[in-house]
Amino acid sequence: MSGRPRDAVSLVAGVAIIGLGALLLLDSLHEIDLRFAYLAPAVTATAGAILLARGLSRSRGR
Amino acid sequence: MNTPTETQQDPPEPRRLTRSRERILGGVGGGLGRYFGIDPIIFRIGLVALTVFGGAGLFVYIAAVLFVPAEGSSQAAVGARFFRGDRAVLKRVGLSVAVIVGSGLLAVGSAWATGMGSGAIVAVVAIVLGLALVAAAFRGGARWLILPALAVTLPAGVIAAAGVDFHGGVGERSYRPHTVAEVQDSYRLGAGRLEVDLRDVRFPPGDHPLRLRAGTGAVELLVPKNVCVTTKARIGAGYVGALDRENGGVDIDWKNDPVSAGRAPRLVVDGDVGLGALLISESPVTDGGHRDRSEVTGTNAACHTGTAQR
Repeated sequence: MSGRPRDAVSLVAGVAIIGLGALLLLDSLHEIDLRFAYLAPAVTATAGAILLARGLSRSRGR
Repeated sequence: MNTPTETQQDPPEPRRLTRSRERILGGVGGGLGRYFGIDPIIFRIGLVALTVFGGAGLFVYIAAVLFVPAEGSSQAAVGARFFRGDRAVLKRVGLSVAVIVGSGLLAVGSAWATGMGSGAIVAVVAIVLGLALVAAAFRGGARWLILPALAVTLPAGVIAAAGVDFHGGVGERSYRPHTVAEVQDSYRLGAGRLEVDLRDVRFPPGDHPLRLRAGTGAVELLVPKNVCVTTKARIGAGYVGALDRENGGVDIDWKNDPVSAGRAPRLVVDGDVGLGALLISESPVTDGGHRDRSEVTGTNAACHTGTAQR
């Protein structure tokens, strides 16, 4: 795994899902108390980041 | 001298409904906007509204994606090719259906596992899927993996954020003790409806703790009129109605801690509902014919004062 990523959408989605997974892990280990007040912005940011990466990769492809 | 053929212009092409390249998802809104000469946002808002109110918008959208050809494509729409038996389309549709059905099963499984206390395992699976996506990004990508990864992560997140615990079984439970000795310290249900009717119990003066737990569903507690009720409750998402007070929404932390009037017994309720409702009243809330809500729920008259906060 070296050089530039060939698919930015997969990269962004992967990083975002790792972040969400980390939140879930911390909650299940009782390190944090996950609430909707934290989850909702995290999910919205994930969706936004994936859509943004998709849009940017499309516009570069043209 | 111009010949007639030189002066004639080609007739305009008939308008054709296609899915637009200027797309947010499938280009349906953009295509409809261009076809009718209206701003696509009108159609997008309409489709979202139809999806939210009844769900018809989703079916219309999927049908349009399947049966309206893409802009600039010489091929017929995917749906038409599917019914013609185009092998490439059949294979693609089969894979898509497999990914969607598999993701649905993953979503149910991850929600259930998280509610049963295996959230750490689900979280590790989500992290592994995320790492796989990152690794795949350097080898050309694996976008098909995004949906299953989200299907694992998002339902688990909702269950974890709501604090849902599925232990305690599923179904409808009803308890009606007649003496203090028959009253349990704790009542629990995983999913469904839990009713605890204490109206026949004659509580002696003093504090009487009571824990109520439900993963998803409704918990209804019926109390005698001569008892002062204090309530501490956590509702992940839903509603709490404790006698004459109520609140709804997400992340509800409810506390109502009044003092008994005179020697009235005090019922100290500790409620926890992940997704659903906690109702405390002096009569079943399903009783009809009451003009005022407090006539059904009661007013906690056996207490002096109370405070409620979210």
